Amino acid sequence: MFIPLTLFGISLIVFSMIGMLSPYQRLATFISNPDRLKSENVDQLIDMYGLNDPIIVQYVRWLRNLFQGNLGWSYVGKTPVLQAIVQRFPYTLELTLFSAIPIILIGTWMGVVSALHHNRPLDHSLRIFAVIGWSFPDFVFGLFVLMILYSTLGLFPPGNLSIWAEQVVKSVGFKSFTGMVTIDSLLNGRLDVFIDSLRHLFGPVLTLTYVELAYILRITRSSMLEVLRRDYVRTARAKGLDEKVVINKHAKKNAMIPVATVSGQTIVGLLAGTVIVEAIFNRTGLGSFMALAAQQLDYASIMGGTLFFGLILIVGNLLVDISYAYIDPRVRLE
Amino acid sequence: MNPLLNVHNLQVYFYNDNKEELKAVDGVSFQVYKGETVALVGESGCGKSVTSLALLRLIDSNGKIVGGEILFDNTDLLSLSEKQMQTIRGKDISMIFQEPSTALNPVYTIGDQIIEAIILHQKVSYREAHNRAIDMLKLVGIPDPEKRLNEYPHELSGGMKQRGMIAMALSCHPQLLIADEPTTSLDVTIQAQILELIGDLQRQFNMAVILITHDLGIVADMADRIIVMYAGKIVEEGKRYDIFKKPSHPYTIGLLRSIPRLDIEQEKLDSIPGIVPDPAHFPNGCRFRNRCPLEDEKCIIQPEKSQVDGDHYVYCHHWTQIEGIKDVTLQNEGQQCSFKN
Amino acid sequence: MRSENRRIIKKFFFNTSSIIGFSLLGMFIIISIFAPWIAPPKEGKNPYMMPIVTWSSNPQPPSPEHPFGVAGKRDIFYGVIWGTRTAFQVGIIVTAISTLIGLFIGSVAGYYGKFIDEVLMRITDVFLAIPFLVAALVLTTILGSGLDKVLIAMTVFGWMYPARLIRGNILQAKEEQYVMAAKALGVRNLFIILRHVLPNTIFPVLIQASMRMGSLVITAAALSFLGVGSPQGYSDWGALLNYSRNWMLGGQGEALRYWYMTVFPGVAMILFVLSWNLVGDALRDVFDPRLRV
Repeated sequence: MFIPLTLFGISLIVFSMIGMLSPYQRLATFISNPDRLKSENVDQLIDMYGLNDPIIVQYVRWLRNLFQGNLGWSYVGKTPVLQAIVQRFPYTLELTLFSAIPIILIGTWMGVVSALHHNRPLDHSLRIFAVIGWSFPDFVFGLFVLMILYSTLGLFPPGNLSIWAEQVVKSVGFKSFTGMVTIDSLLNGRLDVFIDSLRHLFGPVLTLTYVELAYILRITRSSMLEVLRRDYVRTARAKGLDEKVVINKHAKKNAMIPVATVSGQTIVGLLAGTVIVEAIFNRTGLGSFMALAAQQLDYASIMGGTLFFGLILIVGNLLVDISYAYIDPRVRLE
Repeated sequence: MNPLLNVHNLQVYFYNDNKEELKAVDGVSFQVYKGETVALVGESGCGKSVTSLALLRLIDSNGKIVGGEILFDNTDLLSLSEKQMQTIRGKDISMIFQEPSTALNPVYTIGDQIIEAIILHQKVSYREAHNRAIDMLKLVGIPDPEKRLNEYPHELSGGMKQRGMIAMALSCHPQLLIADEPTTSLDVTIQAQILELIGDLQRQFNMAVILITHDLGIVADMADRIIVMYAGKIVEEGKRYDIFKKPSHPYTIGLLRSIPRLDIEQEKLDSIPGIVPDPAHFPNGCRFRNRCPLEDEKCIIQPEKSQVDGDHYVYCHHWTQIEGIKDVTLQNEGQQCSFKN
Repeated sequence: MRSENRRIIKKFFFNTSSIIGFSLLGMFIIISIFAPWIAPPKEGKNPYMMPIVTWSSNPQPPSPEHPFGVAGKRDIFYGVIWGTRTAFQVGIIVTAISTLIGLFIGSVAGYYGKFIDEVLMRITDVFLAIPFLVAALVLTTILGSGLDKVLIAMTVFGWMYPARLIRGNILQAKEEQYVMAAKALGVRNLFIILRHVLPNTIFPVLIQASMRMGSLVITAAALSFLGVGSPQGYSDWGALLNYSRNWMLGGQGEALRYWYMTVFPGVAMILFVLSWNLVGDALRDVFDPRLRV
C-alpha cells in the first residue's frame, strides 16, 4: 500500500529541509546528548558524523538513526526528541478527542436541523452562525475566548491544570495509564482533578470546535438537502413509514457518507490547529512544542515533530478510509 | 358495483420560483374498480404522475392538493391525517416507481427494505417477516432468494431491482397498485417480463392496478380501461377496445397515429405538430386547441364530458366529426404549426 | 447586453451575502490604497514599520491621537491600516504563484494521465501529508524568519490544492462526451485541452483561489503570531495579536482591560476573511449552484 511510500516521501521532504541547514545546525539532529555539543570540538564532531559527506550517504545514515529511534536532542524539551514527542502527544490527543466529539455530534445535528428547516428562520440563523464560524480565524477566536473567559470569569483558566492538581498528578500514588489527564484522573478515582482538567480544557476545546463545527454544519446541511430530494426517500414515504423514520433511518444514513469523509479530514486537521491553540492557552502538547521549537530554532525538535505529524496524518486518513468502507456498502467491493 | 377508487375533480397546483401557479392536475375525475387495470396515458408533463402521487398524498412541498375528493373504499383520503395516511401507504395502496436504481436505498439490503415494510404494517416477528420476504422474492421470480435478501441494490441488475421493488410493494397485499412507468428504464426484453409479472400478481391477489405510461404498446397488452390525459385534464376514457378501435379525441388519434408501424408503408413518422403548452400559461378553454386540426371558435370554452358509447367518454366539441380527421391530419403535415400564446 | 449575461450579473451582485462580501472587500481595497493618507508614515522610514509612539512598554487604550490604542510602543491604528496592505500582498502573491504552479502540475498530470499522473499525485500526497501550518512553520524556521520566507514557505506547501482540483476536473472532462466528439472529429489533443477543457475547469480553481485568500492570510498571521513571520514592528495583524497574547496571559483577571489589542486587529482579520469567503460563495453560486454548500 501507499503508506510506506508516502512516509518515505515525507522523510525526503524533511530531510531536504534539514539539508538547507549548515552542518553545525544539523549536528543537533544527530546528537542525543547536549553536553557533547559544548565540550567537544565541533569540527571533529562534524567530521565524525559525516556531515560533509555526500547527501545520499547522509540520508541513509539519517534514516538508520530514525529507525533506531534517534531523532536527536530536543533543546526545547531537554530530552531526546523522540521522548519529548511521546511525552507530549497524549496532551494533544486529549485536546483533539475532546474537540472532535462535539464537532461531529453537534455539527451534524445542527446540519440536519438546518436542512429540515430549509429556508426558514432556523435555517437562516444556523447558516449565518456557520458562515461566521467558518470565517473566524481560529487563533483570533481563541484570543477572544481567552480574553473573555480568563478575565471575566476565571472559571476557565489557561494552562493544563491548576497547581494543586499538578501536584496530584505528579505524585507517586497517581498512576498514569494513558497519559491523558482526564481519563487518568477518572481511572484513579480523582474526580476533583478530573473537573479541574475539564475547566482548563474548556477554552481550547471551544476554540478548536467552533471553527470546524461550522464547516461540518455546512457539509451536513447540503448533503442532507441533496439526499432529501432522492427517489428512495419518496419510496420510503410511499411505504407508509413515519416521516421521522424516513429522515432518521433512510435519509440520514446516506447523508452522512460525505460527512464522514470530511470529518476524518477535519479531525486530522485539528491536530494542526493545536499548534495555535496550545500556544494561545499555554498548554503542554505537541502543538506548543512545535511552536516553541520554531521560535527557538530547535531544528531537531521541529524535524522530529514534522515527521510525527505526517505519520499521524497518514494513519488518520487510513482510518477514515476504512471507516468509509464500513459506512457505504457500495465501496466495500473494492 | 362500487368502485374501489373514486377520484372526483382532483386539482393539484404547483408554485414555482416566480410565484406562478402551475395547474398540473386540473379537475380530474375517474374510477378504478377492484381487480382491473387502468392505464393513465399521456405525454411527459400531462399530469399523470402527479395524479398518482396525489392519491398517496406524496406531493412535493412546492405543490398542493387544492381541491377534489379521493374516495378509496368510501373513505376520502384527503380528509385523513398524516398518521392515518401512513397506514394506507404500502398496505392498502402501494406504488412502484420508474427508476429502480434510485428508488431503492443504497445503504440497506433489499431484504432489510422489504422486511421493514412487512413489520411496519403487519404485527409479526422479525423471523416471520424474514420468511415472508423470502416468499415475496420467490413470488416475483428472483432466483436464490435467501442469498439475494442480503444483497445491496447496487449488486442487482435493473430487472432484479424492479422485481425487488415489486416484492416490497406487494409484501402486504395491497388492494391497489400504482405503477408509475415501471418499465421505461428497463431493456425491452426485461420490460415484457416485468409486465407479465405484474399481470400475474394482479390476478393472484385480485388487485387493481393503475398503470402510468406514455407507451401505448404496453397499454394495448395490459389495460382493461384507458384514460388519456393532456395538460392536466382527461381528454378521453374508455375500454381498451373502444379507445383503439374508435378513438374520439384528436389528441388520442394523434397518439395512436404516431406509433411506428411495421405493417404499412410509412415514409415519414407521423407526429403531432406543436408542443405541450407551458403549465403556467395554459390557453383558455380546451388546452389542446393550439395543436388541433379541428379547432374553431367553440374551443375557447372547456369541452364538456360527452358520451361516445357505453362507458366511452370524450372531452371535445368536435368528436362527432372525427371521421374527417384522417385526411385533415395528413394535409396539415406541410403546414407550420401555429403555437399561439 | 444579452439577457443571460444580465441574469448572471444580477445573481452575482444582488444577493445579500454577495453585497456584504463585495462591500467589505471594496472597503479593504480602498483602505489599502489610501493607507498613506489615512495613516501617514514617518518621514524617511519604511512605511510598513509601525512607528514607535511612546516610551512606556505598557499598552495604552484608545485615545484621540491613537484611535485604536498603543501596544508594544506602537500605534495599533497604524498597524491595522497598513496591515491591510500586508494582508493583500501576502494573499495575492501566495495565491497567484501557488495557483499557477498548481495549475501547471495539475494540468500535466491530468492531461498525460497514467504514469505521469501517478507520480505527480504521489508527490502531491506527500506534500499534503504534512499539515499546512506545521509545514509552513518548519520551512520558515529553516529559512530564517521574515515575511518573504513566509511567502516562500506558504507557496511551497500551497500548490497542491489547485493542482488536485484542476487535475480532477481535467480527468473528468476527458471523459465528457464533448471531448470525445471533438476527438472523433480529429481535433488535436492540445487544442482540445485549451479550447474545451480549460475554460470549464478554470472556474472551480478561481473559486478555490478566492477562498484560499482568506485562509492563507490566517496562516500568515498565525506564523507572525508565533513570532516567525514579520519582523518586530512590522504592520501585520498577526504580529499585533502577538502583543496582545502576552498581556492577556500576564494580566490575570485584567485581560479585558487590554481589549483593544485583540479586538481591532482581530476584527480586521475576521472581516477580511469573511469578505473573501462571501465573494467565493457568490462566484460559486454563479458558475455552479450545485456546488453550493
